[in-house]
Amino acid sequence: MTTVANTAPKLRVQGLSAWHGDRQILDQISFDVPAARITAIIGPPGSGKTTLIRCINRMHERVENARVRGRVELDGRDVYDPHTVPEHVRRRIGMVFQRPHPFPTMSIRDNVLAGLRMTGAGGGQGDEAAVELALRAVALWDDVRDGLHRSTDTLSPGQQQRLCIARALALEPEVLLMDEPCASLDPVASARVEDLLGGLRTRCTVLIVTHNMQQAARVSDRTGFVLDGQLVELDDTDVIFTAPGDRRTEDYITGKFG
Amino acid sequence: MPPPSRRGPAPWLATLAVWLCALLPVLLSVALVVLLVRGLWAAETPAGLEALIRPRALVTGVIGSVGVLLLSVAVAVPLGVGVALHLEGTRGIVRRLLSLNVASLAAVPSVIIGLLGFELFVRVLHLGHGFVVAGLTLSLLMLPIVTMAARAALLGVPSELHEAGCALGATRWQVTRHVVIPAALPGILSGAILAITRAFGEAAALLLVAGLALPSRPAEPEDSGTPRLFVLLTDAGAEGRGEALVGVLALVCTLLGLCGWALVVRRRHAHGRGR
Repeated sequence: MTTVANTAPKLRVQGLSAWHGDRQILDQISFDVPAARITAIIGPPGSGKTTLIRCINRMHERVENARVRGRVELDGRDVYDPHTVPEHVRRRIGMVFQRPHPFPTMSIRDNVLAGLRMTGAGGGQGDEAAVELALRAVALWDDVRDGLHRSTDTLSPGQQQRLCIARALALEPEVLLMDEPCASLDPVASARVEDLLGGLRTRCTVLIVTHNMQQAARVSDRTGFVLDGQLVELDDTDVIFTAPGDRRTEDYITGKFG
Repeated sequence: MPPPSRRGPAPWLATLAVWLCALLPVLLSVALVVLLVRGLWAAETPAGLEALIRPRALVTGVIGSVGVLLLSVAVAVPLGVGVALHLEGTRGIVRRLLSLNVASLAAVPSVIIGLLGFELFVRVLHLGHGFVVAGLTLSLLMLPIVTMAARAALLGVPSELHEAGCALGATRWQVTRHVVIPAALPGILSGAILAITRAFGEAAALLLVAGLALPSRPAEPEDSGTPRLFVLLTDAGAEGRGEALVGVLALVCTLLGLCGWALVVRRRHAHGRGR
């Protein structure tokens, strides 16, 4: 792992707080995410990790009674600027969820193209190439090349999750947010998804939430530790796992709690 | 004395009862057909025989009914889905009031709906009696059924699919159109089938808007079958009987055909997403 402190930040989160009704979930979180790197967010369940990444592509505000304050800058521009359209933000910042949810009425091929089609960008000559490119990026192409028109029910959960990653990649996002993408998968499927992540680094900036510390240690360049809605510390992954600056981080990664 | 056997007569009785229940609809259908054929046989009037030879009543009944039905489906299904989508979008008291309103509409007797259709389409909008008004009135009857079924179907679409669509940068309407409605389609089609079967057999609502004009011009091809039969069977003497019975036969066959077709369509959609 290389030190990445001098790389220009792709994302800059400043003073981000979030509420759900009266309950405050995030409290004044600030950090930078370097471009073309994998940043992992670890922390115990319920600490606000998922809410944190949902604030970055403006998904949190879709929930009833949800509120956000603070800045999230993508290439220096605040995604919460009143003139910014949330849909445009979400096209540039893709998201993969904890459980795979391919669209059930669409074939494998149409699932990959769903984002392009829905936003009116697909339907051109480039479709076939886009499908192959996205499916190759998630190592699914060889499994499904002969059955692109089949239903997604024919895929295993691990394959479905990789299809969902391909669906997000087909839009060529600049940032990919991943919310515990392996949590619902068996160890073998989980390992295959992890294998992809290194390759994704060349395509986009990745921010991955996980409660699996080994996973964070294996795949990420930078790791942040979130506890009770606060970012305790964020540093290069090897620093976090060998010499954390905060007592609470050390307690967490050595298994004293969480 | 040995304990009573568990494999005694009780399962036999239950099996027999279940079989009888299963056979009941078949028996009813057979009885209906037998009665119809016997009625036709007995109708030894010129009109009855004529109806058998020249199937005017049959053609009139089927064309009229199918036409009116298609019109009402074309009006009621898009409107019903629209109302259901709107109900999804609203929150709190507005949604509660609206859904209460839809539920009560479903319970309104069809005669009242007929009166409403008569007042609205014939008296206020001056659309006249006949095809269009009959179709619109039936669509009023179908609307609440379609709406409630569509709503249940839309509620059944997992919220994760909405989320996944939104995360791809699609607007709410784009997600609804490409993801939610296709996923809810089998349920929406079931509701439409239910509404069709209710509307098809409906005479009371149509007697007011179309049926009243029937006796004066009984051979108009646009007349819907059911109210026409109602008039023929209740008012006419022996001369209309044969025609009416042929008409009943035609209606039953058309209804069964439509239901079968709708079930096939539904199955195909359910399968398309299945495997």
